[in-house]
Amino acid sequence: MALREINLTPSEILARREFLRHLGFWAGCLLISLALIWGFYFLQEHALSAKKRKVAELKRMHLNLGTKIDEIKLMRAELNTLRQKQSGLEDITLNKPYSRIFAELSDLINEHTWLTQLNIDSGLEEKTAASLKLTGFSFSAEELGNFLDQLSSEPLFKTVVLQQAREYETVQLSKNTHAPIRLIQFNIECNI
Amino acid sequence: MRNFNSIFPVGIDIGRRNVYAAQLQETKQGLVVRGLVHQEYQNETDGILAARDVLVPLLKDIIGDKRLKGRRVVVNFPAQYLLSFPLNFQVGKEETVETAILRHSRQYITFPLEEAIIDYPSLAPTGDDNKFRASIIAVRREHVQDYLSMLRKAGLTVEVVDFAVSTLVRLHRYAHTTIQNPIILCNIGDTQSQLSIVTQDSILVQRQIPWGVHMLRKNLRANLELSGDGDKTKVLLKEYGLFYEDCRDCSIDENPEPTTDTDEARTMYRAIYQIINPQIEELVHELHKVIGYGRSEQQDAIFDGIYIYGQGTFINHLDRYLEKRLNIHTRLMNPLTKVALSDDNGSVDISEGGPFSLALGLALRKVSWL
Repeated sequence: MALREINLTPSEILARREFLRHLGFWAGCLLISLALIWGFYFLQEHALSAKKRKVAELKRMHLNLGTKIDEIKLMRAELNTLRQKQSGLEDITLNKPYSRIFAELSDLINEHTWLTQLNIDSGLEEKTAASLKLTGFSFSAEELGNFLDQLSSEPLFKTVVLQQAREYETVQLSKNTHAPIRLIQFNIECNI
Repeated sequence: MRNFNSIFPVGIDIGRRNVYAAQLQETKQGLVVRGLVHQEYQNETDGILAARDVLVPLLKDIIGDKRLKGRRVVVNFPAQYLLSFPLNFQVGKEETVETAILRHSRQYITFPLEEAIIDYPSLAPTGDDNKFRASIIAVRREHVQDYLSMLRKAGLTVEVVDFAVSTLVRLHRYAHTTIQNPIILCNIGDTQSQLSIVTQDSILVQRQIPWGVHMLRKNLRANLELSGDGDKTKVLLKEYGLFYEDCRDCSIDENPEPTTDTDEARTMYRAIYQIINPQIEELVHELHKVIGYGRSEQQDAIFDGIYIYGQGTFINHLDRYLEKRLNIHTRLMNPLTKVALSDDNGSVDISEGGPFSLALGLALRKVSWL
C-alpha cells in the first residue's frame, strides 16, 4: 500500500467549495450560451432586417402591382367590350341601308326628271365619306333646278354639286308624233 | 501529453521567519518551474497563527507576484499545531479502517475527538487478523479554521492543507528516485527542522525538532562579531561550513575555493567548523534518536540514505560530516538541479534552491481545475 495523499481541509468546506465551483461553472456556461444565442439572434435581426424590409417592400409592391394588373385587366376587358360594341356600331353605321336614300330620292325627284344611272360609293376602300353619283335627264332646266334645290335642302345629302348638264334634242317614240323634244342630261355628285 | 483536467497550484511553505512559494507548469519539454518567490518576515509571536497580522499582507504580496499565476494554493499545516503518531490497530469485523482508526486514536489525542480532524498518510497491514499500522495526523478543527481564515483573508483559495512529510516524499520521488528501502528525509529550516524515516509505503518516524540554520548563523555572528548581516553568515556556511572535518589531514588546495593563502584559509575553515560544530552535533544527536526509533520499529531496516533538503543544503560538507558520524550515505538535495526553470526565471540562482523544497513539493500536488 503506497503513501496516501491527505488533505486536512474540513470536508464540509471542500464539499461547499466544490458545489459552489460547479454551480458557478455551469451558471457561467449557461450565461455564455444565452449570450451566444442572444448575440446570434441580435445579429440575425440587425443584419437581415434590411433585407427583410426590402422583401416586405417588394411584397407590398407585388400586391399593389397585382391589384393594378387586375384593374388593367378589367379595364382592358371593358375596353374590348367597348371596342366590340364600337365595331358593331361601326358596321351598322358604315353599312347604311340605302333604302332610305332611295326613298328620299324618290320623294325629292319630280315627275319631269328621271335618273338613268345611280352610283353609290360606300368609301370603305379609300376610307373616305360615302358619295352618290346621279345621272339622269330632265325636261327642263327649271325642273332640274328644282330637283337640285330639293336635294341640297335635304340633310341626308351633303355637298350637292352639279357636275354636268347638257341639253339634247330627241324624238319622243312613244307618241308617234316625231316631234323633237328637248332634254337636259345631268350628272350630280353628293356625299351621304 | 498535457492533462487539462488538473492544474498546478501555487505551493506555499509558511515558516516561522520565511515564506517560500513555488509554482510549476507543464511545457513541451516537461515540468518546469514557472516562478519562485521568497519573503522573509519578523515574527515575535509563538506561532504562525498568532502572526496573522504580519502574514496576511505578506501573503497578499506573494500571491500578487507576477511570477505566480492564480490564487489557488496548496499549503502545509504548521507542525507546531499538528499531532502525529504511529498507530497499530486491529479492524473489527463490523467496522471499517476509518472507524477503527478513530476508536484507537482517542487515547493518543490530547483534545476532544469531536474537535479533531484526523487523517492517515500511511496505512500498511502488519500481518493477519486485520492488523494495521498507520501514521495518524490529528489537528484541532479550530486551528485549521483559523489557518484557512487567515489564508482566505490574504486572498488565497486553499485547495489542499498538506502534511510536510508527504510533501517531502512527493518531491523526493519526483526529483530523486522511487523509495525502495527506508530513507531518512530531513528538511532543515531556519528555526525548526523535520526528520522523518519513510519506506515505500509508510512513514516510520516523523519528528519536528527545534533546530535550524538560524542558530548557526547566530553563533557565527556572535563569534565573528558580524553586524547582524545574514548574508555574510550564509556565505560563510556555504564556503566553509564543515569542510575542515574532511581536510584535517589533507592539503587545503583540494578544496576548489578559496585557494589563496593556505594557512589563513585553514584557520578560517577551523574557526567556522569549531563555531558551528556543537550545533551540528545536536542535529546528529537528533538523527541518532530518530534512527534508533526507526530501527526499533523495523528491526532489519537498512537505510538507503539520508537526504538533506531545505537550508541544510547551504552548509558546506554537511553530507560528508553526517555520513561519517552516522555511517549512512548522505546527500544534500537541491530540487532546482532536478526541476528545470522556465525561461522567465533566468535570473534565479539555482544554488539557492534548497529552501524551496517544501514549496516545490506542495506545488507538485496537482488539483482539479474545477
